[in-house]
Amino acid sequence: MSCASPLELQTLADYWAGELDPAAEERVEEHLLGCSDCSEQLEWLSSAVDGVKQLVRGGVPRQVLSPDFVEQLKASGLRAREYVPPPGGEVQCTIAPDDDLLIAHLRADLEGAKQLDILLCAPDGTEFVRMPDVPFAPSSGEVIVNEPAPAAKQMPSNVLRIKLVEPGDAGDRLVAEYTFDHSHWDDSPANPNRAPR
Amino acid sequence: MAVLESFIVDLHTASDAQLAAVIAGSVAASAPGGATVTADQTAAEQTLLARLAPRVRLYGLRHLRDEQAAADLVQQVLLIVLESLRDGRVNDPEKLVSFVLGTCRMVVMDQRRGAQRRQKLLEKYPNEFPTTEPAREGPVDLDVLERCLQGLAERELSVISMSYFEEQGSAVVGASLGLSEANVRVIRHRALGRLRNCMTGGVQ
Repeated sequence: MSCASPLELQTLADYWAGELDPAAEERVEEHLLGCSDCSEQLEWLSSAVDGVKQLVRGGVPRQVLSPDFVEQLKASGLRAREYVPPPGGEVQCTIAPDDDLLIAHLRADLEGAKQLDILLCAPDGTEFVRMPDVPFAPSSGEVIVNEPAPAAKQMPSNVLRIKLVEPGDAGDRLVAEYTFDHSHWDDSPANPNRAPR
Repeated sequence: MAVLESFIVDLHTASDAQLAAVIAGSVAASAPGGATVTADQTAAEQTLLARLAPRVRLYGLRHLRDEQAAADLVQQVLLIVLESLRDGRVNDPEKLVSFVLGTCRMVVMDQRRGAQRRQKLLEKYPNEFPTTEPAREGPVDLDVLERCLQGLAERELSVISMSYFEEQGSAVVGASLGLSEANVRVIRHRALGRLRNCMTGGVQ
């Protein structure tokens, strides 16, 4: 990079988000219009942001969502299949070929919890994915998780257990757990065109 | 018509201001009654415009949030800049960037007014105008991006997704996730740094 005063990524991120004050924005824009190096950095940021949008639109990242974000996703035209298993209970679930999002509402008493991890486990309790320190609002009473839709559509029928735990020095404290009895769409009772058995 | 002298300028290393000076200087040296575009002037113009185009496009994306509108902006701004340089209306080549910035602002305002007019027409005649979005293939490898996103901390991933899917401000994202606005910005900056390192292999 040959720019004598390169703009920091933090500044570029704030600029791209429209969160600089007017004077700072003008300085940044004047610099960018005169600097290929910093413009290339901004080009990377712009492309990465576009990529994130595409992946989110494809329901790809496994991630925690806020209720407002779920509504935004649906309002943007995405089709969401949502499940609300009772704590300690089980739900029959599937995902259709034209669903964009597969969302689980994990309801539990979250008051007092300082940190939450989400564990994805096999039926025997073997943990195979841990999502540590997920964002949550204690008063909301739920954590909403998006499961990657493309992978879920390929998944054969199986049982998945999800646990909400609060990690601590003495180990994980179980907050709640849920069982998802997943059927591939071809086998699912929700599929009106399922082949008769 | 007077023959223009050649300006010895290395186009690859010349600054934007030097290129502007070549363009303006070539015109100033021409005979009254018409300017002859020389090979040096043409090369300087092409080099300068090639540099400015991606920068103006980014300005357009930032303010118009639309690829096609940004492309239109590039075309309009570069035409105005080129004409102004040729006509000698950019008095000081060192002020070229300020001139380009001012031109960008003016054209964006015009585009927005035009967009408002178009929107009113679309609302009045909703079925008459088919809309198509220009397909844009970004340079980001989505498989790599996906892998790098999954390497982020959960809060980082949530902040990045929510910040950029619908371009939510830090205050809105923070309210949704139970975080302060300042905290959201710190998390966003950290996440972007980690993403960049992951996607570029640590080479920047």
